[in-house]
Amino acid sequence: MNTLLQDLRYALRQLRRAPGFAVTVVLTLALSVGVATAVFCVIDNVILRPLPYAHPDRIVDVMSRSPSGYTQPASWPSYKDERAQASAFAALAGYADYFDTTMETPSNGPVEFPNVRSTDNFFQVFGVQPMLGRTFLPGEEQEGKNDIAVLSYEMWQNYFGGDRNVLNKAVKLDGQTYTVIGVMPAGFRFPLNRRNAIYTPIHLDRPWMIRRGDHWLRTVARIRDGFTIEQAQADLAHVFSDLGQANSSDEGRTVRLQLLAESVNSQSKGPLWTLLGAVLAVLAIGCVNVAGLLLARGVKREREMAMRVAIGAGRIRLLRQLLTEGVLLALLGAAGGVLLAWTVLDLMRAFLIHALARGADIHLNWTVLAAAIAIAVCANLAASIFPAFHLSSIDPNRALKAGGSAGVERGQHRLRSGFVVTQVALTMVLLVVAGLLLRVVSRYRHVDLGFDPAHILSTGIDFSPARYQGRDVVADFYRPLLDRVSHLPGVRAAGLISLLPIENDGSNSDIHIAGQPPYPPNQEMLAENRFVSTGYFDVFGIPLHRGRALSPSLDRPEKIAPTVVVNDAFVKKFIPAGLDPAAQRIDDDDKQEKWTQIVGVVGNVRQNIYEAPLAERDWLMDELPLKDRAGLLSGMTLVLRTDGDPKLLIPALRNALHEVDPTVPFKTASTMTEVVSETLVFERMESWLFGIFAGLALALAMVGLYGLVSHEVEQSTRDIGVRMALGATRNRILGMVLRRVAWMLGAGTVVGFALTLVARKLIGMVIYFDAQKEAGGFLLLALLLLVAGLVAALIPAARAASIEPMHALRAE
Amino acid sequence: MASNNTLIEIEDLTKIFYTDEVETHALSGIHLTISRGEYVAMSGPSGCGKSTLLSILGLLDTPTGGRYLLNNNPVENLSFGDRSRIRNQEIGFIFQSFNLIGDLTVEENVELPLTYRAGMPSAERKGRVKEALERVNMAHRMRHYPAQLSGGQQQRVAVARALAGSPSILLADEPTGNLDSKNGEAVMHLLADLHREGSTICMVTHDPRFAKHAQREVHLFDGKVVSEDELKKLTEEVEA
Repeated sequence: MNTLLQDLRYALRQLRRAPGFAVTVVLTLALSVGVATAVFCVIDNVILRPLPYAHPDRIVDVMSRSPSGYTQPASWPSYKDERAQASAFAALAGYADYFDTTMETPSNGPVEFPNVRSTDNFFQVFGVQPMLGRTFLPGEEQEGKNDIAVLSYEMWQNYFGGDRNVLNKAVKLDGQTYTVIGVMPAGFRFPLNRRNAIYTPIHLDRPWMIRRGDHWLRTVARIRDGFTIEQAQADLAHVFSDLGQANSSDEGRTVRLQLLAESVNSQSKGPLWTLLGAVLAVLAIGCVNVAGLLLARGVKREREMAMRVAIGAGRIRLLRQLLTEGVLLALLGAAGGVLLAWTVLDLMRAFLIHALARGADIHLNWTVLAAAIAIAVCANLAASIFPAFHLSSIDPNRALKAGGSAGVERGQHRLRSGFVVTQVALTMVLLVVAGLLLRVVSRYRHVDLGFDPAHILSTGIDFSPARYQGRDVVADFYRPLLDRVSHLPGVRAAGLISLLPIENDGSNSDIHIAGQPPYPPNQEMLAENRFVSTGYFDVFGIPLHRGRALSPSLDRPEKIAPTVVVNDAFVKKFIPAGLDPAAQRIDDDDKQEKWTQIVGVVGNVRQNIYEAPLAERDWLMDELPLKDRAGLLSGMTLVLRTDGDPKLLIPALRNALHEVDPTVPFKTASTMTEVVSETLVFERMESWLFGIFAGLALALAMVGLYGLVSHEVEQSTRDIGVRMALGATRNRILGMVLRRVAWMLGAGTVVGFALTLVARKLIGMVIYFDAQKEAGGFLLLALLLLVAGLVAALIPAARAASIEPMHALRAE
Repeated sequence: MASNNTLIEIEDLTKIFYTDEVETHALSGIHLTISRGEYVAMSGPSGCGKSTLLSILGLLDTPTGGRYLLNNNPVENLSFGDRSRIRNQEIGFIFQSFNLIGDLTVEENVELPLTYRAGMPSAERKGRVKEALERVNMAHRMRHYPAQLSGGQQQRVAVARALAGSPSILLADEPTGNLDSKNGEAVMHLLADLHREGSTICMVTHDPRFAKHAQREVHLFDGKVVSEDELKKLTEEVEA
């Protein structure tokens, strides 16, 4: 113990004596350990930690598909049959998580919450007991019994002040009264990305409950004890097959069960592991840097070590001394790393919450802190073990004769060059991935959306259908609203659409053009459906290519046949060449006179940023029958094209909305540029993180290179003096040093390319790339690395060139 | 006045080192002439200025004052680049600690000064290296690294490196200082052979046995050239 304290005291003194060295090592460790800890923390919280449910290994996501293989939720009748016939499940629950509900709060006015509407057995799936009250009882999904609500813990805390007497209180949701029956404990959420939610039983209009062709209900299940997932899968597949035989709407539908733990991370798991690979590369670069620094310092300490050996220190004693110094540095590095990880996570929080289902759960915990210390100690031990062995086995006679330095050994020289080549190679891999990701984001950002997102402001409008039941929502709400906002100063056009471009797709129907032969079975023939106002086309600048535009005076609800405009993608998909699209009809009703009439063709707009424009048909909202308007138009998006900065209009827009109807909550308004940006949140997070890690790797590699060249110049002062004595000019010396650096950079770059190709599968989890097509970009990155490396080496190289030969030789 | 045969002519050469407001007069008014083909030994006690003078002669250092003509050309105020060129073409160095570069083979070490000459074809360089190594009996060790050679062998390689460029003069700074007596004698014989073959040599040594190998001995004391008798007298005064 005494010796250990002595070692520790001596280690502290050593670090105080070489503050530059100590600070560089601690900073290098802190940077590399910090990013590794931050990403490990994300992986720990998102992937490694079990889901916050009882026995999560029994919970499965039930993924049903259409005959053509598209994800297709269940219809209500199908779900009821599945639930009744399947025997392998303790609970097979249905839910719809795409609703928001508005609640009147005493302090905040109308506030909107995510509303998860589910079947009565929903909570049985998760096996989590409420902290207050109860959850749904069997039969409470039926009309008349379903006006009850279970609060999430966050909602209870934030809007009910954690009041334990909340049970049996009445709350108004979308204007309808519900009774609070329970509060879930902290940490319970489903779906995991629905925070601050309120859970209610299914509330839907009757048509949605009886039509087998309307697929809207997602399903999740708990497998009964004694059944394996394979048996459950076989059981449900059998039920699907039986339902397909019994009902034409269910024919060909298939089902696959996936553990919920895998399903929630199916998109992010690969990229997160790849991200871990990236930070491990940064960590490796940091370790190599520290090893290089320790080696360089070791050369300076050879005489000291030789003296210790000369006066009787054993090898083990020296090793322990050196490793104590290493551990001390590691602990300091770990402390800095944890601080950095905390900062990085804080900066990433906004991204994480939006990009990952469990993003909101991410926080530093004891496991992660222990991991950080372990990473730092292991990293530093890995880095210091070789220099420690080297120093502890020093030949005292040689070292003392050499007067403090045994000179540059060829082996050490090669080892340090190997360090630089390794660092450059790993940096190259990270630069390639970061470059590719940045290009993807840039490509999406510059993709032809079909409209110019600049100067467009959008805000969602949601209200209770009950509020406008029996009234004309178009005449009483939307028209006055559009009238007011279109007269606001700075507004050039105003419109409405049921699903905002870029933000969403999936509201679609099967299409058949009248007079055309039946389409082949299993061929996807869907078109997106939208309700719009005429101003929508003006706001988005969508051109009319054929026929006429929709018009409130022509497209009236009294007409028997509804009218639509379709986009170019629709024409390409459904209308054979030679036919006039604006004269076609869609046979979407049993009665021929009710078939939808296409009256015009407009330009394409992307519904989803990742895909080419989908076929779309647009109805004028004014044409909808009065009785359907309140239900179908209860969720719309108001869009404005403005002259100047769209955000400046937000206060006026809020006023206009509340002047028309003060009960409708004003949702956060976003510009279309922000919508595009938000849509790319995962890609932006990936590119942002890879960019940072690549930048960090580059900085560390350059610090390593700078350190190596500085050290070599210092160690080679005599050789440089000799060269100058033999006639080498300063430029030659500069050239010699830079040539060597260029060689190392070149070798590192080539190894980096090779590594990139070898790791293509791992990188493919984040991004696919074609090495041949990307050759130009790779070359550019190599050039960037070469220039950065040469700049880093320039100062020590210039120092080498400015050596006075006389001084160099005299020093010898 | 210098004759056509004069290689080096120094007049009133001074060198003062300034450190922490202390002036050290390393050389004070040196006059010296070395003719082509001459073998001069510079001797004197430690700190007398021998090595400083040799550094100035070898254009590794610049004088504080005085005149230095090499091949009848003034060289005391040349730029770094010009001095490098002249060092490369006119001067061959032999150091006490050999100063071979550990990363390079024997062949590469000897070739090094030739690589600094623009336009010399590789074949010519290789020929000169081989010839220089044969002159010092080290051709058979061409592929070896310095660390694989004995001290005597390393110094012979250093001599070959100095010879390879066919310089006007060889400057040797205590060339036997790091060698045992046997190897020291061998290097002295090698220098004597080179002198017989026509080389001009200026050697710094503090060992009178080796100084005797030279044609002429220049004695330095406290930065001045003195006669042998004066040196003896001054040394006795200091020792007393």
